[in-house]
Amino acid sequence: MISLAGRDILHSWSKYVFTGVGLGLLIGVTLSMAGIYRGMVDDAQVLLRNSGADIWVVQQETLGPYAEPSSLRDDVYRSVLGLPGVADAANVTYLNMQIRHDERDVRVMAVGFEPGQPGEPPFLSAGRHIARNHYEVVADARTGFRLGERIRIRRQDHTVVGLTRRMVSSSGDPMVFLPLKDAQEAQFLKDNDAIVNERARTAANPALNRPGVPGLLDAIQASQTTSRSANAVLVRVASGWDSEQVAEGIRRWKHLEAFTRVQMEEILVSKLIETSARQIGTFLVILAIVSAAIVSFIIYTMTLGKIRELAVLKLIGTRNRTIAGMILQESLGLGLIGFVIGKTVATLWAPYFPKYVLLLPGDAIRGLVAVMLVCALASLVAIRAALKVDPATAIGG
Amino acid sequence: MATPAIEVAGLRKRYGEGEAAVDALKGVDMIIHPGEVVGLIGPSGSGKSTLLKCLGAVIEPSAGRMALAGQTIFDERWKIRDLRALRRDSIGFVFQAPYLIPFLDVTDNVALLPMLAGKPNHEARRQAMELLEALDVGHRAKASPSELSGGEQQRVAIARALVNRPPVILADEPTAPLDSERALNVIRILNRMAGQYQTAIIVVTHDEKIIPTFQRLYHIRDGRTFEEAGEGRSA
Amino acid sequence: MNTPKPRALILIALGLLMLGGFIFLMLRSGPLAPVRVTTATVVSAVLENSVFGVGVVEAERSYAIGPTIASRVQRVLVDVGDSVKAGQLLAEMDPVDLDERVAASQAAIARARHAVDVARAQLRDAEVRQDLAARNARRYASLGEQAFFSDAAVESKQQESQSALAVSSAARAQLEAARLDLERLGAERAAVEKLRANVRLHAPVAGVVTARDAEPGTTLVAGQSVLRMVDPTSVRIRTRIDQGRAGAIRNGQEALVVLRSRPGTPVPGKVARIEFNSDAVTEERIVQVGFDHLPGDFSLGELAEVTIATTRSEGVLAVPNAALHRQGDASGVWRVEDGTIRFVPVQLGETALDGRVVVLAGLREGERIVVHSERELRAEDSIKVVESLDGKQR
Repeated sequence: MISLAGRDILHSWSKYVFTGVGLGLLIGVTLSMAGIYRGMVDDAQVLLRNSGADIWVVQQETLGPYAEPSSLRDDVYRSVLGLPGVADAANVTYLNMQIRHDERDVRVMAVGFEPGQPGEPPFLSAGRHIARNHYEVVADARTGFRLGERIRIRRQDHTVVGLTRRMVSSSGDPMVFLPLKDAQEAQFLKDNDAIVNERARTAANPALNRPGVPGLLDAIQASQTTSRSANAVLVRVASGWDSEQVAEGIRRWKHLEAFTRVQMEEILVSKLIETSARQIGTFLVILAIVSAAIVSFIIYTMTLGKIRELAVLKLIGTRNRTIAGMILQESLGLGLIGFVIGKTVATLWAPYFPKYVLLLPGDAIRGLVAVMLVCALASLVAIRAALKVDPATAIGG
Repeated sequence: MATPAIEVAGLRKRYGEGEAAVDALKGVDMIIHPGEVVGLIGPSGSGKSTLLKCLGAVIEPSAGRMALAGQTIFDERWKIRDLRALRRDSIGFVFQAPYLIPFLDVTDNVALLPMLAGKPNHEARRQAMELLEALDVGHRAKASPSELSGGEQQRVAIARALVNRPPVILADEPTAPLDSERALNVIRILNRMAGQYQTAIIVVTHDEKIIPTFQRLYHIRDGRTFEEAGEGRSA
Repeated sequence: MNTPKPRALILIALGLLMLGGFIFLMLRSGPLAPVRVTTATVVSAVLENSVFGVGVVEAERSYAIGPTIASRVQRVLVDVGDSVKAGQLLAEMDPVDLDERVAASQAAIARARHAVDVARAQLRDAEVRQDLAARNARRYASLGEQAFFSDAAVESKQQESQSALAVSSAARAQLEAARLDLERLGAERAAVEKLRANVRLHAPVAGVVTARDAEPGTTLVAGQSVLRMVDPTSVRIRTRIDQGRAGAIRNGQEALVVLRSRPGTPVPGKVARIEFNSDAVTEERIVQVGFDHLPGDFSLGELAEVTIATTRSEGVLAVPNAALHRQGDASGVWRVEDGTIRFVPVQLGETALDGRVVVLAGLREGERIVVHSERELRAEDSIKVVESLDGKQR
């Protein structure tokens, strides 16, 4: 027995391919939508993975540093370092800001970190890591910055010494890594220079630097130095220790909030991007329904166009099974063509999205199964119409 | 006398019910022997098509009896369960238009029937080829139906009707779209094939040109048949 | 009969081509694709280590010039930017009554001098009288033995002589007292004159006036300044260096100073002093860096970026810091082994400012390591070595 579906497809292949391309673009949009959702989740996870931390220590009663603002004294890390099970602890700051570049503003998340400590970008795609503790930055390639370029962050010019990739905030802004002290200056305008300047200013003020009151100046300056802050302390847990156990110690003894990676992921994925994810999910469902409807219409129309041939086939004794199989195969074939084209275009256009689009092979397989299922369901209507064709119509009169 | 290829007695067909009922066939009797080519003529609305559909086992008669090659297929009700297999194996169809399957080439259009009957592809194609050669269209075996002329298409259609060696072929105005020379040619072919394969062929027509060629004619009027001896000889 | 038509063949070929392209695309992009990386060979290198810090231009010796007692400014002779010589008069305070007090003490001294003269005359008179009395007494005594005079007369003369002696002693003491008085007044006068001199403010060293804090008529308390000046030869950059990198800094090391006002032109200098105290809050050490030749125009308080060349290591294995990764507790690099990669923990030494890091152990010369990658590497990743990762993005 020859494959009637195969022969039909080969016969009207141009119609098939064009229909398949149209369907494929629709499937491509659907896959991209799923990719956008995956990308959002991945952005959140990348943020956590790239920070290299096991525990985030933040201001008490906050969900910082990503979901809520958090502010800590920047000497907190010293006391955290002293706790058992803590291998490394380092201050980090996070600040969303605009950086001017080539006549336009680039929205970035400026990350202040201590070189060699948690919070450092884990890999580079060009250049080198920061070697000076001032005025150098490593930027995500998506910012559009080039190696050696000088960018201005608040008051200081910084040189781009390294480029990295996939370093984005939970909202998808590319990251710019700069030394902690520069970042503190940018965020609080109270870096070391500011402190030293402030001291000189205080000392020059006769009201505060009175000849008759020794010790007053020292007291005032000591009080001014306490305004230095960081947003979080990243903790790396020593091997052999349980993150939750160490975090519990920090919560109990340091009176700070401490989140393990699992909890942080929960915060980011379920709290921060929940609404957007639901938005995309709803759209995805609608898109899937629309795709299914379109597939059924296409298959149905194609079947109606073959009514006479079907009548002849039935008249000369073709079985219902054969005819149903033919329509089902054509439907599945159309779905397959559409899926291949959809997956291809989704892969090709994914890099041009402003935010990360992650196309997982697992999603592609799920998509394939869904497309096949939808096509099979869609062909049911067409099969029903085909089986109702009266073979008598082939005989004139 | 040998077993008739087709034997019809008192066949009736009523469409609708009660007041609105229409009797399309009011008692049809036919006996056609293998190798005979018989004309079936009648004005429009006389019941030609209904009779053809009944004979083709496409619609169910209301009463009467039909037998195909000695086997009763209808006696007040269908005596055979698988009408599709019956149509496939025992009845050939030739239509006014050739109605070839556009997406199959000429060979496969013909070979489809033996394939549907379960024959292996190569055997089915061999049979098809044999018939196509016999009908002088063997050289177009690879062509797509749309590439053939009307006459060639009609010959392929005849080949398709014959390929399963059915005892009877129903031809519904097979010459309508053809000019008289080609029409006569088709009738010649039908006659030849009927002789060659011992198939009974019923040709429904109102083509005046070919009516004289039939050995026997059945007139149908108001749902009844009247037999008339034809004047023609097989060509 | 089994040979399909050419068109079918072409279509099948096209379909296969498309499927092949699809599979190719799936393998070249997305999670299944090999990771593009750049590599480097571990080589023995010369490492010029240096440390970087931000500093402020300051004068190490600066002078605040003001009065020692509360007083009013009378006149100011110099202005900001003037160069002054050592000892030059810069400003004068209002002396108020100091001149009168000097005159008064001068008069007192004159009077005391007269008093000394009087005492001296009185002493001379007393001495003459005593001499006479003594001679009379001696004569009466010898004549008395010869009984020319009565004992009473002799005793009387004796008593007279004694009395004259006492008077002369008193006169001597009075002279001494007058002389001391004169001395005291002299000292008092010197003191008042010193006060008078202090009202004049002189330059302690040669230098430049940097500030003029008070104008004539202003009343200042002791300790407030009229003028401030610096010694330009003592200009230093007070540089703050991260404690973690300050260990290799020594006195006399070469330094390059980039003043904020002239970003393109580094000025050579040397480490002049490493301060003993660190800033505990900012975790930075203070290093004073001096200019080799004082640049013509600079401003005190200007920000400067200082790079100090510390040590020079020869024949060390160095890798780019971009090649370093962390896995668990270990730092290491991805070593390329026949197209696959393996994480090798390494022991690290110092980092140079050009981003190279000394590897003390874990790698051998000539081994290839991954420097840049498209994404974070995992041991099971396959890699594709390229020249540069610029441009294309996944």
